[in-house]
Amino acid sequence: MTGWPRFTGLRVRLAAAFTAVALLASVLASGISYVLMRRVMLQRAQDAVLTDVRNTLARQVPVEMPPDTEPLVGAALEKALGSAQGRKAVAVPVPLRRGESALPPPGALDAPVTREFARRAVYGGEVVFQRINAHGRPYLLVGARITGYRTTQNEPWRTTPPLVFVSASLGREAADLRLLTRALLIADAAALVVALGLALLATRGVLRPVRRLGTAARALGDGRLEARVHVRGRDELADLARTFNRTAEALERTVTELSAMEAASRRFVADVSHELRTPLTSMIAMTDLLAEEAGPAEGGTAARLVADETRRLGLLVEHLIEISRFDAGAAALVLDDVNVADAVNASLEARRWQDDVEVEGPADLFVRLDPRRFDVIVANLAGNALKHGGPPVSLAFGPPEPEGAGGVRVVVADRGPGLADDVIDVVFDRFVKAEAARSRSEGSGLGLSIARENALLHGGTLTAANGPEGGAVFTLWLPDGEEE
Amino acid sequence: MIMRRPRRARALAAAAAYAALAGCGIRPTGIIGAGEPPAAQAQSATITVYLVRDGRLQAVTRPGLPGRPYLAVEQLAVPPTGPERAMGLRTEVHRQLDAYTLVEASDPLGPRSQLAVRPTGAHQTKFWSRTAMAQIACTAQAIPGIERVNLRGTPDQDKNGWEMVTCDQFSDLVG
Repeated sequence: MTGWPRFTGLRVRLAAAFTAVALLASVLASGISYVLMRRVMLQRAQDAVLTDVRNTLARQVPVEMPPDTEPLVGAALEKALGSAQGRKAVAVPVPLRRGESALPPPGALDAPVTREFARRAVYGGEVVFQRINAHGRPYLLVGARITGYRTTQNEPWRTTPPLVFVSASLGREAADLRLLTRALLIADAAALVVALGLALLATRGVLRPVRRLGTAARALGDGRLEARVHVRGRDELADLARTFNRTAEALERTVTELSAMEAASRRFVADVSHELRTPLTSMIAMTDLLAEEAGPAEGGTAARLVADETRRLGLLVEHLIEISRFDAGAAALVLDDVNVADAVNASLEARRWQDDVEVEGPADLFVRLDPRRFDVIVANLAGNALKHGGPPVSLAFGPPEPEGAGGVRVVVADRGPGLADDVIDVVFDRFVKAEAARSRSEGSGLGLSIARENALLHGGTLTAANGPEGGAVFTLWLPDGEEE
Repeated sequence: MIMRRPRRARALAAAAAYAALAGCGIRPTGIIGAGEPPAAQAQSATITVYLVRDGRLQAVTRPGLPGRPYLAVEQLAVPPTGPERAMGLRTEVHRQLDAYTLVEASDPLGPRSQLAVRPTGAHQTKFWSRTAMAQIACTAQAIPGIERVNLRGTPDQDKNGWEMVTCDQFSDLVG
């Protein structure tokens, strides 16, 4: 469990999704409220200005004007409309004669009046307004012309009330909106933090059972078959936990049954072997005697055959007993300081193989190991090479390759056909024979298994490979036994 | 195909961010109509202005303006309207006039009874004709509460440069 899987893990993804949804909702809500607030705020400001303009016009402009008083009325209107803070007003004569323009003098207002705006104000028949950004500041521009006045037919310009343009600053509304934006941003950030916290809490609650389940599954995988999960709640995870528990129970039951059966069969093999040993020992003695007595005569061949097979049977039984000891875990090391050269020679001489095997190695290498088991290993490797490989068989021993590694390395090589590819992996398995055709070979089929079990018991290794020039190469490494 | 998706996603995110940013603040609008224009409702008493026809004063009424009680005097300098001209009326006052009350605490008749009338633009030495003086005096006296006119620019100027006139002095022109 390094840092990497945690960031792509279920918890992070769940928390991210949860947070994203919360953030989306929060942003959406604040966006909608912002838009609504802005609409209401601007509507109110606009309505205030428009109402003021209407009321002032209605109040200040008489139904019938005295001649040539348009500037007076205009000045009064400008004073009344332009007195509020942030507002400027300008009154312009209605263009009734050719060539007149309704545009106010530039600079009279805070926001520029476009020709189209003036045209709509004069001829549109309604009060017009427009929001304009001028010099980076928002303004409301209103243009209004009054109706309901009386004028004269032939000199209408003398008694027509003026047109007014009003610019009102929306700076306060803009400031309020900025404040609102900041408040909403802070609220969103707070919502994000809270959502993140809640998401982490919630996902922890959801994922704790998953983690427990994972731990239990790992324990089960490591061989602790009694691992169970505490089931809590009634959700899908609890269901899963229950299923896991049932599976683990079934597995434990099956494995227990299997191991009991295996133990029983091993015990059976061991018992049978033990029971066979005593009669076989006497049978070997008897058949040897019979073969000797028969001599090289006609009946002697059969007697020798019986003697050989009986001896082989005895060897098989011995090997079976040895293997069943390993299986029962009853095998123990009896360590001693051993001169490897002496031990190898003694082992070969005891089987009269000293002439068939070329031995090579330092004479003064001492290693602490179990001499009986080392003898078994050497004998089995050498015997295997002699029986199944081709001559010459060589046995080289020495200190292992990395200097100071301790222990001993023994390499047994032959010049036979070598090991087939499909055999290399299973050559140490029980009753594996390299040549299927030669099923009735002299070996028990257990020699290499026993050699390997002995090597493993020492804490060493035994590997099989093919040499570069053909032939099988078995490499044994035994560590220096620990001083007790 | 592999490149397109992140690019599209990025474009989408950029568009969303742009929309969010552009949506902030106060946005300009086009020209929007805001309903019926207001109707003029201010009511004001009519004013009486003395114009001249064949050398005699003739009173005409004109609409007044709210908050401008002395508009009648100022209106003397305005050319007569079309209907007035059709009736043969004209005015002898050809200079803009300023009118204001002089507050005289010592005056036994009260502070507002005297109206000061000055031609606009300070030191003009042109004199009023008698008819013009009659127009000014009678028009001023038609304003409720005004009994005398303190007029600057009279022909028989005393050292103060003004003369007190009343409509009675021109009774031969009235009627």
